[in-house]
Amino acid sequence: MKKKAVILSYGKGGHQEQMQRLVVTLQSELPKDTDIIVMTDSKTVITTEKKILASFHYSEARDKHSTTKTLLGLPKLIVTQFLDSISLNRQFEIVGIISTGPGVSIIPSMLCKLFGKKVIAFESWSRFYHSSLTGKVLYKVSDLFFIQNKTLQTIYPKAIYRGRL
Amino acid sequence: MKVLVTLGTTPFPELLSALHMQGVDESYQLTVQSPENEDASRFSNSFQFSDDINSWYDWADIIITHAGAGSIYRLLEQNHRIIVVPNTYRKDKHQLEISNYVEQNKFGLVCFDLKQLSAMIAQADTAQINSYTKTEFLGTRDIVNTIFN
Repeated sequence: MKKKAVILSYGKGGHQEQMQRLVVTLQSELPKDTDIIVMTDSKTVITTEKKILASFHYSEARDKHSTTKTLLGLPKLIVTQFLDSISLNRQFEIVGIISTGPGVSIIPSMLCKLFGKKVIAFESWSRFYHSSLTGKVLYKVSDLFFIQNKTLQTIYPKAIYRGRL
Repeated sequence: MKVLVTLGTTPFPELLSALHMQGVDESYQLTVQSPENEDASRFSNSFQFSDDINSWYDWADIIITHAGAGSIYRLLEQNHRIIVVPNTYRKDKHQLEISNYVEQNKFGLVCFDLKQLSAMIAQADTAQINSYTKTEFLGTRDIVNTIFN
């Protein structure tokens, strides 16, 4: 029987900080038979009382200073994440994915949607007036989408606000 | 006055150059956290990462921080006196949004022009700022219900 797991996908820095804060409250609410898989561009992994069944590290989807580097790196990232996601679905019973962004979360979230798994996403807490590119994509594929600033409600009418991580 | 500069995980050489050019190291007791050691080694006290960054926060009277939301929210939650410096040299300019939020709510000072950095440090100690109150996240049950319902 396959082990049940929820994928946590996040980037480094503030994205990881958001996921870490979420995990502190989420880990006690998850069923005992459900563990965690991490997909991140951070070099460090969040700490959790839950078992981390697997952890995947990727390069950043978007280079902070160069569009060329972003475009050159994207094909490798997409292919790698596609293959990893297929492999994960064979090994484990994935129940869903939770993302705090950024671009490293897009492909795994889209594939989860394709496989009929639940997709939960957060718009970054740094966004007050404009949506992020990742937010725009994940809003369309997510079953539950959180905003962390009420000012975004007009941009994401179906999103819910439950405070800030 | 003790001044901590924290850049998080992304290099911000323009900010460090401004600190250096404006002689902040000579005027204050300065410590710099920078992810790239070469950038920070020109200052008398620097480090790349710390497992106990909160102790450094407590050490400082004024904290100059990049405009990464993780750093800003943590500092505001701990009621530190901060100067936020948005990194507008990045391709994406999203740091401006949280910088404007901090400035409009007077949670700290915001330095949009690096030429003004030393002047801003001089006024940071006495500037009128408002305390920040976090609205706790209460959506965990929504997540569990959505995944397992």
